[in-house]
Amino acid sequence: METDVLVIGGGPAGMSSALSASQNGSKVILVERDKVLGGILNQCIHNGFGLHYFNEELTGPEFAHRFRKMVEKDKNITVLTDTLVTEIGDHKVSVMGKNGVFDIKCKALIIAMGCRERTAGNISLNGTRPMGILTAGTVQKMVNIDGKMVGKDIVILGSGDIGLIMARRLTLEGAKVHAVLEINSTSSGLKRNILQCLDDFNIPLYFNTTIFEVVGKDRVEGVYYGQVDEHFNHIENTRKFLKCDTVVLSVGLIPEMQMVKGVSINPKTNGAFVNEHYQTEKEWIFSCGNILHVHDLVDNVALEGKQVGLFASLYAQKKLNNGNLIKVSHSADFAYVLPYTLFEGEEEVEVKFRLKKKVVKSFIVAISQGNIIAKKYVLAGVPGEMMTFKFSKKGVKEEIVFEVRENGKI
Amino acid sequence: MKKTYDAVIIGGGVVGAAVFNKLVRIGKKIALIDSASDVATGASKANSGLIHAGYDPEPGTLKAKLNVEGAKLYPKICKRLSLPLKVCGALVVGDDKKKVQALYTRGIQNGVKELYILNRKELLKILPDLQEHITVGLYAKTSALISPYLLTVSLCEEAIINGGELFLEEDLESCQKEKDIFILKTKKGTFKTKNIINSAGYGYNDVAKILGTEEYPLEYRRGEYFVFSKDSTTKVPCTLFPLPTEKGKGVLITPTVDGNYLVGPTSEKSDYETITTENGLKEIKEKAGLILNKVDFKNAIRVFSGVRTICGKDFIVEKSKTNGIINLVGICSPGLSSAPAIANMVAKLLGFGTKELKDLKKIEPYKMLKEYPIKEQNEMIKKNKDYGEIVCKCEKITKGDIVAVLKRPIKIHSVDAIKRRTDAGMGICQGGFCFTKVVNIIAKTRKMKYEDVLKENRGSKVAVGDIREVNDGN
Amino acid sequence: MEKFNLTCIMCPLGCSLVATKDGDKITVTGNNCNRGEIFAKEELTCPMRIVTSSVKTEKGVKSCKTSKPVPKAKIFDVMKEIEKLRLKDAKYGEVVIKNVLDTGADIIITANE
Repeated sequence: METDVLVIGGGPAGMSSALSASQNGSKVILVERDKVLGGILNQCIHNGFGLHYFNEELTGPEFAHRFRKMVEKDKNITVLTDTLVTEIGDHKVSVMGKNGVFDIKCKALIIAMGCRERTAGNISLNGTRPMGILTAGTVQKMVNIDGKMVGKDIVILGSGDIGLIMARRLTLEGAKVHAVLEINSTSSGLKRNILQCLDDFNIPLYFNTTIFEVVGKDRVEGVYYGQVDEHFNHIENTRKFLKCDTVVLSVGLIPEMQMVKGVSINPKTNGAFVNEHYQTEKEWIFSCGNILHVHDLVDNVALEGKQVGLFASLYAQKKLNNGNLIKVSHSADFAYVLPYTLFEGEEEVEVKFRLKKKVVKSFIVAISQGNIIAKKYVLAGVPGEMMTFKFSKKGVKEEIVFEVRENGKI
Repeated sequence: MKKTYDAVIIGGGVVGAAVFNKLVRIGKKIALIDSASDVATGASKANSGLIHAGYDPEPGTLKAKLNVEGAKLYPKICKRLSLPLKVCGALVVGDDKKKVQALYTRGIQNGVKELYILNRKELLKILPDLQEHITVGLYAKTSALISPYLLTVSLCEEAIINGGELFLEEDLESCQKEKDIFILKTKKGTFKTKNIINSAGYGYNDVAKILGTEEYPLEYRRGEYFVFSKDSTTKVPCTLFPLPTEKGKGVLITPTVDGNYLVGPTSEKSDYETITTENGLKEIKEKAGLILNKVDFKNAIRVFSGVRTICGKDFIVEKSKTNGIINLVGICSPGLSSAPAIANMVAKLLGFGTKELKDLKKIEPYKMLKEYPIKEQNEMIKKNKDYGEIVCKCEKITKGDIVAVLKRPIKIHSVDAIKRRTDAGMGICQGGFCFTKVVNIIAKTRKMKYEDVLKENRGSKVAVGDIREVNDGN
Repeated sequence: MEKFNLTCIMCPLGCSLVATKDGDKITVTGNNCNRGEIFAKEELTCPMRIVTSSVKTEKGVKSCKTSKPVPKAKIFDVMKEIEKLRLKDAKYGEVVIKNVLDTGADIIITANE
């Protein structure tokens, strides 16, 4: 097989970028390993999706459904479900699945494989390894897709959004969620989720707290948990026992980059370094969605996909012009600012960034050669929420540095 | 009248499996019973997966003799079972030339071939990242990697298709002797047998009590490990040991036969508890760092621990003085390496000799779709659409692969049993994407309820029921 | 007079609100904008939530939601209504309960298949 743009991953980033590449005149093949398009959205049956993209509050499967229908209608997109990419070569990928084992050649490739969850092994969760230690995503599949209960007495480790959502889900479906434990001093989850998933059901959230040890031979019988110091060392005299049969892990997401060889990875995002056109170091490979950086909102993933689909399509048609590079860097107040390089030119550009700390009533400023070239006022910004900053780079030729100016002073 | 077995083996670890396999191949009527839901669920699933060359045990011990003998038997056994045995060699490194020399001498005494002493320059050719203080090493060329669980499973399967009988989830209750026949009772049934072999590993004394045979003071040593992903930057080409101490062979760094990397084990006195601990994992990090400059703990995908059952300094392989039961006690390291030789020794102790029957049946090799040539893969997918359904994306395992494994001679119904046989769930996501898929396939193929599928043993059911049907929560 | 501490969820600022309830009268302090006041008043008088869950069918569970928010106090009652359903099958967008518990909200299938 052969195509202009090949997209790996049929979640929101993949579907959105495939649609955009097609709408911009390219032939597209979209490869998805599961039976249906939608990716992780299909198991996220809660609401809160689509407010920005569709101006409507949808559940995950509904958001996926809308995109799937658009993709299915698009005659320039060939969808290969039940198909796994096994290797990325040079302008081609190898796949296996229901259509057999073969190669697909492409002019441009969009990697949109999303994330996997951090596991018990990744965080060296100690104690025994019985049934009942599951990632939030696995629990979500079991409860929402298979309709089965994982356990009756639940402890959730990690207060990211998935952990919070699962606390509510499990409570509604008949389990008792005893606590959510968060090793950090703040939650990375949305406030709305803390209110509607924990407070509504009187589920306690303990900060600076983690599981010391899991107990139980065949099935989880409980956990020893307690507080940690600022270096995450266990404070042994705070050790307590909590009886439970299930430990749900919501301890972070890792972009699925293991198949993408030969491109450098930003240790802050675990995604590829990309330029203004979302090209990785291999210019024919584009990246978008959670495999590039973990997003809080699927709406932003879809928007990013749309952007990147256009770039990949232009590249496939040899119409993508990269100007001279402008380096992007940032002060220590940011976790990252993406893209990592921009091009000289007239057009406006939008950068996405995540802060390292909460800032209030501050300016985000872009500085080049000592001059502020653009500024954005933020009433409040927190690490848990990705933010964007659109500005003109007209005339800018040198490195752009992003900084935070607090208390409304520039 | 129910049949009488020539022997019943209690305990389906690698040693029990090797004995099972050997005795069936000799032509005897044999049963193997285990309380677990699969074979190889004790120490046999949680070890370094090494066939040691045999330089380490003290000369003159059973350990030395059986290790060297066993290691020699492996190439033929693995060929017969179509099991990968990767001879990649082992390096024992340190800064004490005398100790290395002593180890070399010990190896020669034990009859180990192809041992070499290497200087730092030679070592660096193999391992450019060695710590500065390391000046000397012993290279044992014959040291090999094996999958200890696939070995145990294959040995049992071969025994089963040649007439051996495997009984899982059996709880032993009593043992009586009538004339020359033992009558073993379990919760599920009765076994009549002329001989009994106690290879219950860590459960040896519990079984010995019921059988009325000798009990021994046992000591348990817990060994914790890290597993690294196949992408790890710690790509050691061979097994790396520090110089051994009284506590054992020390924290090693080794590839596995599947292409992952293992770092461990610790050696902590413990109860029989396969836990990992903060201190244990810290110790591994420190000790591995004494060998290599950089060890890629960031790519750790799993931590686990196994427990070695130790009885004094040597293995005990004996015929009980009181009732003729074969006692296999304290088969710790190098138990995996020694297993085939132990099986031969047991056959001789029982007076069966070691001569095997001709025309025995061979098992189907464990071969996943991805291991066939592409042309054949396409034919398989065309013929059976299950091969076109991806289950484990990390290890590229299909539904067809899993269904095929479920149809093999051992009737398994646990996710871990599937994982051991196919690698589904072994990869970097550790089953995050495929756990429920595997559960669904087991439930459908075995025609059992979803919630009755096990993770490993009885008591590890994957679910407690349908949603909203566990109503003590509110 | 009753005092309630709330964290506003209307924007990342996350103002710490104190809402005082005196009979029918609610006063809110700590808010930086009027969205905080609206939020606190709603939370104190009649907090509303969309409920999502799954309907049991012969073909497995199918995800569903309330078509609009329902009173928070009725979440578990709505769950009981959903539990009563045993359908043959259900399709995307299908209304499986009309006007559940007189809340004005329907239960709609959301599953993407």
